[in-house]
Amino acid sequence: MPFFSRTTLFIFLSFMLAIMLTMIPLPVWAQPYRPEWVALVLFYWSMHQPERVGVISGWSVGLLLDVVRGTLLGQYALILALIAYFTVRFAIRLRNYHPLRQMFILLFMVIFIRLESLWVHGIIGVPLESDLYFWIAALVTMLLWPWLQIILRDIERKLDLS
Amino acid sequence: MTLLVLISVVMMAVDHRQQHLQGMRATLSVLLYPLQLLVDAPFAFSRYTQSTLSLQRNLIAENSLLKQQQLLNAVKLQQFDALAEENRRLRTLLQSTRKRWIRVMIAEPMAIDFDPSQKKILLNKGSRDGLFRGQPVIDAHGIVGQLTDLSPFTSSAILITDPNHSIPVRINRNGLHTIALGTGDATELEIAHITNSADIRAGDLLVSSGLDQRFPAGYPVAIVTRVIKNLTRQYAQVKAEPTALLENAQEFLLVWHDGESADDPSSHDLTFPAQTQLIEDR
Repeated sequence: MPFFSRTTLFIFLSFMLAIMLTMIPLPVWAQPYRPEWVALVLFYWSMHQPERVGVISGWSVGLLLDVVRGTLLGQYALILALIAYFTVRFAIRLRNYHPLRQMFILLFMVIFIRLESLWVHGIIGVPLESDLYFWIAALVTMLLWPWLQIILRDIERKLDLS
Repeated sequence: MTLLVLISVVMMAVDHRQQHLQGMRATLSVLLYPLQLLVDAPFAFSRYTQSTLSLQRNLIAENSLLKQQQLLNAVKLQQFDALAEENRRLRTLLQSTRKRWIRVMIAEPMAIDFDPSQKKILLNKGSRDGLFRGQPVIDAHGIVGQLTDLSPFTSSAILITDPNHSIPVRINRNGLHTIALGTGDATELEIAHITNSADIRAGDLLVSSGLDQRFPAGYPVAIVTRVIKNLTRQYAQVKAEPTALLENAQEFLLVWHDGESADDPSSHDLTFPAQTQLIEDR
């Protein structure tokens, strides 16, 4: 299996697209609804390609996301590495779960991303306001999961990736 | 896994306390620059088409409006010249040779969103254009913020409304010094340590005091909107609204200025990037 196979390239491109979607400017009212695109894509790949995408990829993508989002270097890296770790660990089990169950697991993961950001901001002494809007992104991300899974799986089949 | 977690925690600590990771951030943002350009491209394109495909009658209307404004500004400048002359005379009486000058470079914002917890903007000029960390950023209406992270092609500026930012100001009416803190709310600054007996009221203009030796002195920062005096507390609660357009501005000015030094710009041994313009010498 060559390192730069078509699959690897496709995984790479999907992550880049996720980062771009995270950067796209939204009107202020829509910003709380912005889903965690990178976590979504990472969840998919570490579930379906656990031998290619794992902790290291999660951590590297997280680091890029930290630069893009202007957060402390390591904040997203840490939590995305953890998400990748648990998804890879239970990949086979997760793959056989009903999509609804996967959605709820994803919901908890995104809630943990938010929680970590709260902790980090609390520790550096700039507490965030965590009203209801702060958590709504988790719900949006969860609702996107079935569609993302269908789209990515379709593309995978069309391109005949293994 | 544990190792990566440890590295992340250490990196966060270092990034928060020290500047060692600036280089890493800059390198990574160079890698991300194509993506940022790609995201910005449709917005840049719409700006471009707006400026090239506008109707002639709109252009004529805009032109006449600009001419009127230019006339008004010119009238104001006449007074300014006289005032500057008077100032110079008074300075010679006081035997102070201090001269003020500022140099500016124009930068445009890129259409990139940061984390909602960060009040930051991305500008299309970077360390390649001679910018430096901590450089003041202003727009047509007042002080916007300062540069925090530089990469060769882009730079991000923290706004005065970021909860991590504070700027020393003085009340223009009576010269009372204080500090304006960001709140994270785009339209609100908090004015710290105002005693209940202090002379401050809604409508007061706050200008930068220059005590930080980073921001140029005398530029508008905010207008006081609310003063709540509460005798049971040590300090009054004072809120102010930034005068600058902040996130909504289309153009920003990056500032080089003399700070507190008494140098003449012509004899200054600093070398400036080519695209800058000297705009003031008062």
